[in-house]
Amino acid sequence: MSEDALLSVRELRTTFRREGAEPLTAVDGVSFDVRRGQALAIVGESGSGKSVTMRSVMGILPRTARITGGQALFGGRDLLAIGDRELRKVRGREIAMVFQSAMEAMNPTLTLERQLTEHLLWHGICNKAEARKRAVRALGDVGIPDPEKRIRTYPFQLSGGMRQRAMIAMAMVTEPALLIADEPTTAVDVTVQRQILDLLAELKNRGTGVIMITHDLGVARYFCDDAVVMYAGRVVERAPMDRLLDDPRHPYSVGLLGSGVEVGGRDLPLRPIPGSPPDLSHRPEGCPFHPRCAQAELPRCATEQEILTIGPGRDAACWKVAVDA
Amino acid sequence: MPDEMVRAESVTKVFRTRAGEVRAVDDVSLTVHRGETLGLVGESGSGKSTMARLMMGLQTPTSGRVEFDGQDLNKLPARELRMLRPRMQMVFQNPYGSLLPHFSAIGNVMEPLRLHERGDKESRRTKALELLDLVGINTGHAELYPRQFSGGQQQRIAIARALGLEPDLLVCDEPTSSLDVSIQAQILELFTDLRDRLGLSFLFISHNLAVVERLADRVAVMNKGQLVEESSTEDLFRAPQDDYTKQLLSAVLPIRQDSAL
Repeated sequence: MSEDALLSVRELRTTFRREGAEPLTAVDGVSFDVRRGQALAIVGESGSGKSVTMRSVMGILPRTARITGGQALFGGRDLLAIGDRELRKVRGREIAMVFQSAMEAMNPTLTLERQLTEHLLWHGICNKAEARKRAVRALGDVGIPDPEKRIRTYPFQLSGGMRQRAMIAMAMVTEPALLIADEPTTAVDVTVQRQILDLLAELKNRGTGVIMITHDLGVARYFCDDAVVMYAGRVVERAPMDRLLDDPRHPYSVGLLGSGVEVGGRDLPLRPIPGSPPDLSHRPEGCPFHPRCAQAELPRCATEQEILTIGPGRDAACWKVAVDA
Repeated sequence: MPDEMVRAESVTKVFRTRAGEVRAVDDVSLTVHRGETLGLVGESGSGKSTMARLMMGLQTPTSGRVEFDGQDLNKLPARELRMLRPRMQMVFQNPYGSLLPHFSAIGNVMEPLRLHERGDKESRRTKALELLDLVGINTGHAELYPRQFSGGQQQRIAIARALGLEPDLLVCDEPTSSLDVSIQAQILELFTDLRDRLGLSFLFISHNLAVVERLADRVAVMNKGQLVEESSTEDLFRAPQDDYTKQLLSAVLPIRQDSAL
């Protein structure tokens, strides 16, 4: 574990049980570090394993999933080994999560007050009166007008943007050291998006480490300092955010950038990646990207898998590209 | 032949809900010309999907009129409206939800042809295979069911189905919004290709400005049920006039450093 890492994930492997078939490997040897006050983007398409990675760390996987290897070191403990009892003391207090849809992540039958004070009371951080005070302050901090009154409302009584803010307030109220945000702006309108990101940035400036799972490269660039790119359950590239987007190295990252459309880019040619991401039950041998890769060279790409080095700077899991550290 | 494929004139749609009246579309006039791609952008609740359904004649406006190829959709007898239906087709955001799960890929594409009594079973099958090939589905997979395809392939099947009746107008409501970036790019290429080859008129609805900029000849912006701006794609993105359009454009977060923003 590197010196100043808040969370160090090493060689994480998570599989899913299937009836009458071999288990499916959704996360296959993933490693990364997050520091205090750093925002790390986990970028990838659906099925790349980015959400399963974070759910493994948080211990909130579905019953059919099993962590078969690796470590997640946080404050001197391995979150994958300490068991659910201990993990509960970490979750919601030291590590909080923000999800894509507040409507689904919040309890529709409880007022904001109940949901915002729950962590404070459950963890025994303060008494009920103080918890209420902190909850009102957190709602005010995320820009919800009239928080004294709004705290008595239910999630469905808020607009989508306000609900997303309330969920962020819920995550912030215990002042966690690490925040995991899974597509936090995907379900909100663009005009609200930046406000939500600016809120999260304040948290980051106060020293909270943030892991943001996103498929939106514009959001990643605006908010994150560094990025890891995932494909078929593996990290294929690690780089400072700007350098990844301005000069991607792994052929998959290059493809992802070539597929992205953006305003002002009307005359830029689209360069989509041919084919679709692999079905994890038929994961290609060797480099998982090689069947879609224009640069693939057989037999090496179909037999050998490049491993990303761990450490600072950038690296790509591809022997065809030169990477300066 | 009029130059206007479909034209909405001062269309208003009011929904009555328990919470009161919702003016989803408020006095909007919009025209899609023949062979043109009109982009319609706006945020959630702006009324863009309601506008699409009104222009397809799937909903009746509270006031105002919609003309398709010169015929008032809300005055046509049901029989004649049904005759007009094949000429306007729709592609939706969620391809899986829009396909019949218990019909194979080819079954889904053949179904509109059967409903509109085109040819016999054999010729429908031939036509459906051609369409699947046109949209880039391996015809060897024609007998597979929708759930056996990826999201991008499902959307291709939905597009093939929409093209079967050789429509003049294709209305696409967020057709790439549920797809991954690399798949979205493939579908955008498919749309560009189809437009160039088949000369279709498109009403293309999206909250994604970059997608609309790439495909549309003209762009209309809706906010809270009203049309706030409409101009050529170039002008709208280069020199937006309306405050809301400006706000929408300035909210876009650029990906590349050398991006034009």
